[in-house]
Amino acid sequence: MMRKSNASFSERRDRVRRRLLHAVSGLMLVASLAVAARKPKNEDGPVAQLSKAPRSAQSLENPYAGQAEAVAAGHKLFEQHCAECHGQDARGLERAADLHSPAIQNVPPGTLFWALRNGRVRKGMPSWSQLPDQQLWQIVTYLKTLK
Amino acid sequence: MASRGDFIRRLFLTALACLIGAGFPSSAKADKPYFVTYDDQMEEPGNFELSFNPVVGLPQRSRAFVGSWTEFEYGAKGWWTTEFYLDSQSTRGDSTIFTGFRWENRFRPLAGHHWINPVLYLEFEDINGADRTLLEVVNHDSADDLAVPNREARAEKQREVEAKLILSSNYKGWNVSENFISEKNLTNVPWEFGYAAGVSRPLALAASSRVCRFCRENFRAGAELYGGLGTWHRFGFTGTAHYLGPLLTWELPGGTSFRISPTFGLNRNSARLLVRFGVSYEFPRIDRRVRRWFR
Repeated sequence: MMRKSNASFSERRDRVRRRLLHAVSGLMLVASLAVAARKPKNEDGPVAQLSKAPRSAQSLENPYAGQAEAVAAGHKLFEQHCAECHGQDARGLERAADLHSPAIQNVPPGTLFWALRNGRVRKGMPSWSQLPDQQLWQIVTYLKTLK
Repeated sequence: MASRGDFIRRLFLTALACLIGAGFPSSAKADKPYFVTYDDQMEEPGNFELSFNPVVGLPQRSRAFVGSWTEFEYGAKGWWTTEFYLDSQSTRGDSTIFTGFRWENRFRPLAGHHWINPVLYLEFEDINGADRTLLEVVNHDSADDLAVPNREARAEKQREVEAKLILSSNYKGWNVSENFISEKNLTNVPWEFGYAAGVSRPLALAASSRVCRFCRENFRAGAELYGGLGTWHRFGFTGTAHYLGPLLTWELPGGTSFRISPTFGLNRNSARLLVRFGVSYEFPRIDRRVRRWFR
């Protein structure tokens, strides 16, 4: 009798545990979809996005500034990663920004580095954080020659 | 019944498909360092990637096989990548069969770059027990499962949902990614768990100034570790299979990338050796082309 009640208790416990797990998984799924689908608070353009760069990023110095070889490497990387959206001439296509525009050319190199690294994922600009910092700086060096 | 000659012919056709893949014209760069582990890299919006990934398995107690999956990946949004897989396998001295399909979705909940970038993964798969892609090792999956003849194994239906928590960090060129895998068969069986982890780094951090095929920055080397963690009722390492292997990725300037990873079984439950190959090609902004067709 005792054994039977122990068995039914453990069955009930398992059932409750399973239901709990299902409920938690379901909640996590709904929450993650809600987070993924939520609209950003500020529907602003790329220029406003650049203004969000933290001061620490703005003050970063480009280790390749003025180096012709870095410009060539940056151009190559730009063609591989950026030209499909910004165009071969970097004038921008569809929603992608014109990278010659003063609003982009006048920001410090560190801000561009920050923008490349973080992207604007909700607006279609990928985060390029998987590229090494050296390659991001080479792209920034190239972008600064578009002035 | 497939003879040894048929097996070698299939391997040759696989290699040929890889070479044809390399001959595509220039496009964006395809970059996916791992086979089993996912990192935080999402497909760029509008891009489509086609990938073919055979795995040659040499288990110690059963016949050699070539499992393969063909992957169709599309960047739906910057934060959402969707993929469709077709799986098949060929076992030496047995048969060649289609083993099912998978549909996966990856969501990046946080914008921007963080120390640890989380990605949520959801998949539905309708495969059978003969699947040999070993794309995720969960539960108490073992090398003995690979010894079941195809005719018997394919009778086992595996309609499953799978969720993964992907955590990935990028620091000084290194990528470190960890995946926590949970899988549930839609029949009344307990949740199954597994893990995968990978670390990789390009051979050169700065790009060279000329377009080149063999520059060090085009190569990425690393290692991958994955295995099962049991079930909801029997969680842990006991009786589970584990694999570890180095990997090398070669990205050609045209947008094609090749990958290889000889993976070694770490215990008696694992197959002795799995050699994974992969060839990917990325079609940039296919959304624009499709829109143009309908204008």
